[in-house]
Amino acid sequence: MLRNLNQALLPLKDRLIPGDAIVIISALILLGFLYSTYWRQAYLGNQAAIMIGGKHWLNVDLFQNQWIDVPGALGVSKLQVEDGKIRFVQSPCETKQCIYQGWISQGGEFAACLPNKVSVQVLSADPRFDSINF
Amino acid sequence: MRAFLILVFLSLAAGCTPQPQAYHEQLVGFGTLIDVKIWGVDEQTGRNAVRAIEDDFKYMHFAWHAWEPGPLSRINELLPTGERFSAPPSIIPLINKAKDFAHKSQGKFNPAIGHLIKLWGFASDDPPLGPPPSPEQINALLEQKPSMDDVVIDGIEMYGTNPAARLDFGGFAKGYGVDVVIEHLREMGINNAVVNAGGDLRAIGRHGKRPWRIGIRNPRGPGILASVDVQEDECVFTSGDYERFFEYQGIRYYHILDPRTGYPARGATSVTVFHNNAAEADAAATAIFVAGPEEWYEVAKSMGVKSVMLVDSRGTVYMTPNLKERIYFDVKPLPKIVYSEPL
Amino acid sequence: MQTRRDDVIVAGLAALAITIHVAESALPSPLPGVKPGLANVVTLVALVLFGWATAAWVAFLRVLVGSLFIGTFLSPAFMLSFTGALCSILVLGAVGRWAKGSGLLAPGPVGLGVLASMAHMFGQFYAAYWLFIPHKALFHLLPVLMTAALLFGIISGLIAASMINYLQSATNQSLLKLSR
Repeated sequence: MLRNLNQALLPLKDRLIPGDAIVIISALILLGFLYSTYWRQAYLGNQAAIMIGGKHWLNVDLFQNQWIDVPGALGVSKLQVEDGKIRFVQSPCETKQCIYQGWISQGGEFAACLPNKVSVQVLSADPRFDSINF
Repeated sequence: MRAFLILVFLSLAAGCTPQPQAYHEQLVGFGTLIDVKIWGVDEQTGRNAVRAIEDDFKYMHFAWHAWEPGPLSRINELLPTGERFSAPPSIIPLINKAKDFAHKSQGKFNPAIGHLIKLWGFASDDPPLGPPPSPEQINALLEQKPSMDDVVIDGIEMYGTNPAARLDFGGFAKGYGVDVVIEHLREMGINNAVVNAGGDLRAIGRHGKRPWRIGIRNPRGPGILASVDVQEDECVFTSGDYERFFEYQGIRYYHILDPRTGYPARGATSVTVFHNNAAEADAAATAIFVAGPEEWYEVAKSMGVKSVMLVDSRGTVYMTPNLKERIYFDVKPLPKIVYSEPL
Repeated sequence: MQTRRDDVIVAGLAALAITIHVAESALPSPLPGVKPGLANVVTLVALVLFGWATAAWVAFLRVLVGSLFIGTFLSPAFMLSFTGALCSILVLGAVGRWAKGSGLLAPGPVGLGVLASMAHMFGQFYAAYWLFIPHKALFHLLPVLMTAALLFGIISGLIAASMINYLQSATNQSLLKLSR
């Protein structure tokens, strides 16, 4: 049995054939794609801070889908949280700029209803922006 | 299974290494939200500093309010009379600067059109509502040609020469205020901070080891148009039509008025100016916005700013070549960019 | 019709796979779901020498019987193993079909090992995501897990190639004959 074992351990190059190279190269390409897609996660925020009148009101987990009613100066702004993003859905302001802004999800990103004095900022350890020119 | 969860936490932790954070507060002031970030101070110092500048903003908002009782309002009441009165020290520098900017911009920056602004419903804290004023009303005001020349300062006294002139510094008060506040922070020993008053931003120093990173909002559409790393003492002022407007019968009327026509300036949707002086940057952003994609270059030149980015209503970006390396566009597809001559 | 000798070998392979599977479960792994994947070697050997159907049998016997032995039958860990094995076997089957017509481009044991291992990891990951931790942050792990899968796939493929050679020289069959 052991005699045959020596014989069985083929030299490395005999164990590889051209078809293997194709597979391995494809796999490396796939890995490159995966790293570039999912390792940007440092920029994605996990939580958002909601402020009323500039004062901190509540932190929300962006991965827990929910609806939030925020009592502002003019009335209630309704926010929606879904899959790591948050946005204004309803607000008592005139221009609805806040709603028009749409989803925010990246660390540092910011949406606000100025008339209602409600603002939301996505928190993240490495925010992409320190400040946003609104 | 438990191991899987532990693993998830570990990887989340790895992805979110705790880093020293900047001291951050948001204030309500000048009719907008003011974002303040200070680096390199403990929480108590940060808090004290922000309280101090909060008071600064409160005072300036009161002193420079065009309509509510205060020093500027008083001036506005007295100007139409043509009589001499003592010039309040808190307002004189503003008026002088405004005159300078008005000349340099050939009238595109004109804070003397306070009545026109009120007519449209964009005065200070008014919520803008429709309908738009009639052409007759607008012409009635335009004909009288209110301008900064109608305000004369003579030593410690001043007087007005045109009853139609009313001062509304909405176009550059925030800039001026940001300069004041930054100086105050410096006096308190703080050298690394960002003060952003609703799109009017000045940054000094750095965020620790890296520069402060600023995002510029996409004027049409959600999210960020572009991001920039700012230099150690730089102002980034953005005027956008999306800030204040009202919609009437399907048409949007924006808050930045063209003093020559009496109507909202069309053509540009967002103008960003990079400069070292906040008051100038604010006035320049306003004037360049009024100038629009046709004339922005000349106005920028005469106002003395060197780095400008303008977005027109089709999403085309016009900018000075010195911004090419600095601005990183965040939108896909990339917008069409037209570079001007250097300023 | 398989010879009696082949039956013995297949049974032996299955037993070997199960044993490796049970033994591996005792190994402390820094990342659950990332085992050295040595049991994969057996699946590969079975695939090359006896065809896809046999390999499928061996794979599922390994997961099922292995889990019965360890005591994790129908547990979350079992779900993950099962899904992984399923994906792995399906991918191997698909490649096998494609390989029939493509001669030189067909992968050998190493290539097959990589395919099997990465498909296995892929299946396990998504089973974990959909069934247990539907948290987007999980994707942070995916690149790392797939890298490990690639590595272990190569290693198991190399080992499998040696085993195949040994067995074939013992039974006098040619090395590069893929699924019949």
